[in-house]
Amino acid sequence: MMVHGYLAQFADAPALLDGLRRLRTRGYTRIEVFSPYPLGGLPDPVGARRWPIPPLMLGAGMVGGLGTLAMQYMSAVVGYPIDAGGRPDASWPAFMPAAIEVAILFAAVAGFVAFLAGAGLPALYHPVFEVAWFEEASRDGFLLLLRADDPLWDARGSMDDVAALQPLRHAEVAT
Amino acid sequence: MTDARITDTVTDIVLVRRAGRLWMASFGVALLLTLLLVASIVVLLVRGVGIWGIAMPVAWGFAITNYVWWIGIGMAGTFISAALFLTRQGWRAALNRHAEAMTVFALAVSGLFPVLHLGRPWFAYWLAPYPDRMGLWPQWRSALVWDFFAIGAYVVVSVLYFYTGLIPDLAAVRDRATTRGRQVFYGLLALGWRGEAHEWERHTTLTRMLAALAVPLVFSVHSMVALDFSEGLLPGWHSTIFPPFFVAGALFSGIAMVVVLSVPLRRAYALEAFITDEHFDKLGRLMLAAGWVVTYGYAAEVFTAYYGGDRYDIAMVQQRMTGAYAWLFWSTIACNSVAIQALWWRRVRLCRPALLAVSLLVLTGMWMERFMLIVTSLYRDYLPSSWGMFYPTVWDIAFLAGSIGLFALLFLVFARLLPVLSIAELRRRAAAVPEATP
Repeated sequence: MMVHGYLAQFADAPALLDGLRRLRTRGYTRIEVFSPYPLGGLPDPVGARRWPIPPLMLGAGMVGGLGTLAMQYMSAVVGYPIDAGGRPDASWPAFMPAAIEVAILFAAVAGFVAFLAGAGLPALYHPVFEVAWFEEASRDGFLLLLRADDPLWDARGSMDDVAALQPLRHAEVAT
Repeated sequence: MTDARITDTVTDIVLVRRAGRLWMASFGVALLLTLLLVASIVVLLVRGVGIWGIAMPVAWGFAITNYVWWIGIGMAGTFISAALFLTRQGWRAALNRHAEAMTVFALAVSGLFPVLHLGRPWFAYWLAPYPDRMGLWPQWRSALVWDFFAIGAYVVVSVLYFYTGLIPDLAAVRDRATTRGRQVFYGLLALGWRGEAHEWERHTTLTRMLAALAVPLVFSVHSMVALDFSEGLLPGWHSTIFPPFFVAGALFSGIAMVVVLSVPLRRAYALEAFITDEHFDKLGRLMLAAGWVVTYGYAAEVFTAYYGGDRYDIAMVQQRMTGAYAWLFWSTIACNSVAIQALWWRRVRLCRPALLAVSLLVLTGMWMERFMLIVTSLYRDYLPSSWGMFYPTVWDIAFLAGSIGLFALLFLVFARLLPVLSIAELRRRAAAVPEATP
C-alpha cells in the first residue's frame, strides 16, 4: 500500500506549533498543518510561502482600468463620436467612473482566481479525507501531516517521530 | 466559547434543526409576494411601463425609488463586513455573514428595477460596450452608463466576497453532514477546503484585499446612484451634496435592515451568545450617527437653496415643505431625523422591540425620502404648464410589495441553507480574545 503521509491531531494550537517545531528540528520539511482558523506564528515554508495575490490584483486592476479608458477613447473618439454641446469627444473626466469600476471588478476577479490557484482549489478529493477524524480540522482539531514525499521520510522511523510528539491520535494516510 | 461549540451551534442550524412553523409561515408569505412580483413582471413585459403611474412630468416613480432604496440597504452589509474588518472591529464577526447575505440579496432585488424601467428590458444588454453591427457604443458621459458599471461591479464583488468568506464554513458543514445529498452539495460548494496553512494564508490575504476594494467600491456605487440625479439640471437634484448624502442614507437604511434581520434571526435560532446586546448597542449608535449625517443633508439642501438665491431652487424647497407632497417631506423628517433621537438612550438601544420599531421607521423613512426627492423635483418643472401629480397604480404597489417578498424569500432560504454566522471568524475571534463573548 502506498503511503501519502502520517497524520496526527493535537490538543490545541500551541501543541500543534510545538510538534511542528520539533519535527522541523529533526530536518523534516514537507509538513502540512490543518486548523479551524488561521494560525499565527507558523514557520516559513509551512505557512507563509508567498503567493502574489496582491500584485496580481494590482496588475489585473490596471489592465481593467486602463483598458476601459482605452475602449472608451476608441468608441467615443473613433467609433461613434457624438458632439454634445461642443464638449470634447475625449472627455476623460466622464470616462473615469466606468474605468474605476472595471478596475475594481478585474482586481477582485483576479484575486479570487489567484486565491483558488494558490490554495490548489477546487480539489474535491484529497487522501487525508480518508481518515475519519480529519473532519476535526473544520471543528476544533489541530492536525499535522508529515508527507511521505519528504526527503527524510522512512516508513517506520517517521511514524515513530510523529508518535513521539504524543499527539491525541495519529494514523497513516494512504494515497 | 469553544471552537467546537461555535461550529456545532452554527452547523446544527443548517443540518439538524427543522424549519419551524414561523419559518414556514414567513416562507409562505414571501413566496406569495414573490409570485406576485413574477406576475407583475410578466404583465409589465406584455403591456409596458405604462402600467405604472409614471407619466410626464413625473417619469420616475416607484421603480426608481425601489431601486435606490434596495441598493442603499445593500450598503450596510459591505460596510459592516469590509470597513469594520479593516478597522479591526472584532465584534463584527457575529454580524458579517448575514449582513453580507443581505447585501447580495438587496442587490439582486435592486438590479431588477432599472432593467425593468428601460421600457424594452430585453435590450438591456445594449448598455454593455461590445462591437455590434450597428456600430453603436454606450454614451460614456451619461450617469446611467456609470451606474450600469457600478452595479455590475458591485454585484460581482459582493458575491465573490460573500462566497470567499463562506468557503471554510461550507467545509465545516460538509464535514458534519450525514446524508449523501448534503455531503455532495456542501462538498461541491466547499471546493475541497481542508483548512491547511497555505489555504488559510491565501484566504486571509484575499479577504483583506477584497475588503480593501469593497470599501471604495461601495462608496463609489452610491455616489454613482446619486449622480443619476445630480447630473440632471432639475432644482433639488442638481446638487453637489448628493453623493455623500446618498452614501450616508444608504448606510443609514442598511443598518436599519441589519437590525430588522438580526432581531428575528437571534430569536429564532437562540443566538443570544453570539449576537449580543453589545451588537445592538453599536448598531444603534451607528444608525444614530448616519441619521445625523442624513439630517445634515436635509438642512444643507434648504440652506443652499436660500444661500444660493436661485429662485427655482427656493421655489422647489418651498414646494417640498408646503406643497402637495409636504406630508411626504414631514413624514420623512419624522422618521429619519426625529425618531432616531430615541437612540441617544442606551436603554432604547438595548430594548429590542424599541430598536426594531425605530429601524422599521428608518426603513420607511428612507423609502419615503427617495420617493420625495424624485417626485418633488419632477412634479413642478420650470414651466407651470408642465406641472402634474404622480398617482401610483396598483402595479406600483405590487412591485414594491413583491420586491420585499423576493428579498425575504432569498433571506429565508439563506437562513436554512447556509451557515448564518461566520464560523471561522467567530473561532478566530474566540482564539484572539478568549474572554470576549464572540
